[in-house]
Amino acid sequence: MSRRCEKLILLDCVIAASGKLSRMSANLLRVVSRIKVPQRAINSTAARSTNIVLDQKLKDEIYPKIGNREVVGFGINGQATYVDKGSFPCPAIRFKEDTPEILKLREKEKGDWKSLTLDEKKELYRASFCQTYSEMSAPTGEWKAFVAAVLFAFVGAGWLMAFVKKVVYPPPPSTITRDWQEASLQRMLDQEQGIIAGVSSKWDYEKLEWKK
Amino acid sequence: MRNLLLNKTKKDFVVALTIASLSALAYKYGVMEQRRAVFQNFYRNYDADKSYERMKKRGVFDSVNKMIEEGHLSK
Repeated sequence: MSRRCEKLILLDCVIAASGKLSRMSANLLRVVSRIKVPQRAINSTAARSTNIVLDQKLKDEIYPKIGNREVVGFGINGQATYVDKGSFPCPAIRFKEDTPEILKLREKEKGDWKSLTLDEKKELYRASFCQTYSEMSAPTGEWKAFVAAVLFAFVGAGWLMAFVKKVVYPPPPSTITRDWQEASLQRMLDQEQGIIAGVSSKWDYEKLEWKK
Repeated sequence: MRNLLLNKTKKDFVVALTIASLSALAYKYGVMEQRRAVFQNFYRNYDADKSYERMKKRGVFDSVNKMIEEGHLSK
């Protein structure tokens, strides 16, 4: 859902010439730098600050892209885009285009909020924003894909190792075989290597077996 | 806080001194004295000649085998 919301608006702006956009952002910065950015959470101050006034050149650039939406702040980078971002609560434009019903509600919003019903509050929120914070930060189950990919990588590595052992490697050295290792150990016992605290100290030379 | 680093350093110095001396003592008794005891126990009842005969019988001494072959040493 969040990806759809972003694509609806961002893609339009991104595809446009980027040179124009950087100019647009510089202009928005100049115009908007002293405007108080509205908060998403409920705050106790009075109705929101004055609307942002853009000069006609900016308006001609922005409004074909965003349609009837209201510009409400500087946004993440000064461009008139909508992005749901947990770390930055205030996008530059409202999410939905302005309709007469929403404008009526906005007038009502300027009064006492106790007079708004819960449904009206929700409608106002959804007009300005695409997702709530809990929707934004909801778990996506993406980690399962990562775990699956890692496990596939292990399996692939296992197959590769089997192939290499069978086809590529020369036979192992003779010293690796069990017989050789046992003979090697027997020689160590014969030479009494480690007779004080090592291998031979664990061997009982009277009974010819390992010490219990 | 004033002298925060200084006070912290003083405490840390005491702690470090304690830990260092405890580990030194632990090493001395846990490792050094144990090893000394093992060696002493071994050498208390060690018969070098018996060990030599045992090894000679298994044939690990190349020079001794050669001498036996040439007849300078009995088997």
